[in-house]
Amino acid sequence: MRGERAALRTVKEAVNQRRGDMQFLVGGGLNFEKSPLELRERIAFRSEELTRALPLLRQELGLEEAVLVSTCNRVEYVGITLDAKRCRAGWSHFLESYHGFQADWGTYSEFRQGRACVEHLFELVSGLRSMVIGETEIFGQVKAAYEAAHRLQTTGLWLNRLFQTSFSAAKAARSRTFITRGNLSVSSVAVELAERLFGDLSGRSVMVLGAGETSEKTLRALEGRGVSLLLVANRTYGRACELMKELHGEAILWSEFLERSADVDIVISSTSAPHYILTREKLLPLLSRRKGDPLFLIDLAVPRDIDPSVNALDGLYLYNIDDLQSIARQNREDRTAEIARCRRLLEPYIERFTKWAEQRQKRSHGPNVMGDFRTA
Amino acid sequence: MEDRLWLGLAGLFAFLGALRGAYMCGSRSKESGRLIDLFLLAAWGCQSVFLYLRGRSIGHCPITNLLETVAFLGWALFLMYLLVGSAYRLSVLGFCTAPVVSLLDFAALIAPIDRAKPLPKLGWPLEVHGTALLLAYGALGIGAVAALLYLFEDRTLKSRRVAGWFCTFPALGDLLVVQRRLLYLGFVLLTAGLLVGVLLSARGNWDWVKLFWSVGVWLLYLVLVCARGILHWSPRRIAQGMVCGFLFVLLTFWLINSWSRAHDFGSHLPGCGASGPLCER
Repeated sequence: MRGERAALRTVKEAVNQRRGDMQFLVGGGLNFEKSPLELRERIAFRSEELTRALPLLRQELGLEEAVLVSTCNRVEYVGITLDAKRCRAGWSHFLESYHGFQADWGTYSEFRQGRACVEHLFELVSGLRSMVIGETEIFGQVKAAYEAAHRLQTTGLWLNRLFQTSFSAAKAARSRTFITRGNLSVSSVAVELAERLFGDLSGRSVMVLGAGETSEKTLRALEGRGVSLLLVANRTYGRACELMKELHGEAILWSEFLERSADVDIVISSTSAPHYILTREKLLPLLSRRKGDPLFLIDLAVPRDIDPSVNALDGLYLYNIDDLQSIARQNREDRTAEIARCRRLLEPYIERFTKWAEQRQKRSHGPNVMGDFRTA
Repeated sequence: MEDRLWLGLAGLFAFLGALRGAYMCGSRSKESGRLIDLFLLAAWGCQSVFLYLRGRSIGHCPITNLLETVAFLGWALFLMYLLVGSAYRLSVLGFCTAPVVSLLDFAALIAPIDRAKPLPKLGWPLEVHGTALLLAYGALGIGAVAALLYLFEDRTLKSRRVAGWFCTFPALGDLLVVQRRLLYLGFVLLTAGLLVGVLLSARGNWDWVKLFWSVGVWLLYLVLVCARGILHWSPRRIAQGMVCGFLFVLLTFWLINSWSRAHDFGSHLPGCGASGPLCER
């Protein structure tokens, strides 16, 4: 009896000792800001590799819980550990033992602890740490990484709560700020403008003059938004036919384009003509046939294909390549300006998680159990 | 609760809707306009209660004096917005309408225009006449707001200053559709109301001042209805016409009704003095 009690006491003490250890929220890895693409592409993990990589990560870094996020721009981990120093050192060993080559990992890697780790994750999921600020793809990538870790049972109480809170915070940031608003490429800005003009693009028709690369991209983007009729007129009829085979549109003869312009809503021009091919004199009769329906002209050519003075005509909106680039630049600046608002919006979520973590440690294990989430 | 308090409450809700709209614009908030719609719905509800109580107390459609007419016009403006704005997700129309209605409601309450007047014994045709015309002005008023937004957006797109908070605006095409539909609806109601008015006038003396004004307004809107198909006007010109047309109605309505014998809400109708044979009370 006495022996059993003593054994029980020993177990309890061991558990208490175990509980009494400091736990740390840690995170780090490589991202596009510090490490070159040549290195990132060599250490990227495919989703099917996580089954082997996650247990090894836990073992090498001494992590109790772990999530590994791998995208084209970053390979990062988040975890809970008892030994932050071992974790920091273990990252290099993990990469070397998994990928089988050596590099100056210390120079390229980052390491965070406590609140800095929480802040980084929340900003990462919200798109604030992305190469294209505000892009939404990262949200899905982090979510997939978390779900994979959850499936492999490498997440627990702390990381489950951390990631779920970060997803809520990111959703709030995206829906309540303009961080995702405004496109950043010429083709998507053109599509956005078309939507500002016409609303829903389904049922609208587009004509492309000249089959350049940017006009093809714009045409593809417009097709993705449900544009119903695509026409291409090129001086080389064969090139127009070739493009239309891929896009399921209609190739027309160059001589027909002016006649057909009256029936379309959007005209994209990118020919190599040395003079204007659409002038005020040519467009005026077309506009009267359109009964006031707006006509959107996108001039991607240099030198320009469309006489700039046509923009003064009622119901006609002309944008050239400089205009589109200027809007894209402005959108980029607007997104950057939104970062501060996003951070303010994320702050209560970060605070809520930190408070929860502190209360949790106090309630369950006394004052010295959970690692310090507040300091980095 | 006195019926005028309901009108005051309506003005207050409309003011809150306007404030919320201004805040959303100023703070570049991306939140939806649902709260604005709720404020405007509450304002419309209060206006409805006011009109119901007033109608019950006077035993007539509440368009018997200038206060009631202004309240009815505000009610019609909100009704048209709630019908169109919610269908097209144009809450921006709502917060442009809210300050106008709030101003109308408070001005009507403050001005000494709530005077009971004897009514001509013309029965329901008079109510149909007044109601149809005020609903028509409601539709044309919201159409004018949509036209104003169209002009602003057209100018912005032409000048290529399209970044920033402009992205919260509805699409130019949607504004054009809303503006056209409200113009057609308003014109049909205007025509119906004026036809009933002509029939009513035929039973008494012709009120030439009001008749000329009404025919002028009707012709103005007829031109706007025909402008696209027959006159080949550009959408910008039609929008300018809608804004100017409604401003003309808004600015001259009170003046013309003051000059008009029949539209001084009955007191000067032939045979309708305080104890005239055509009067109902």
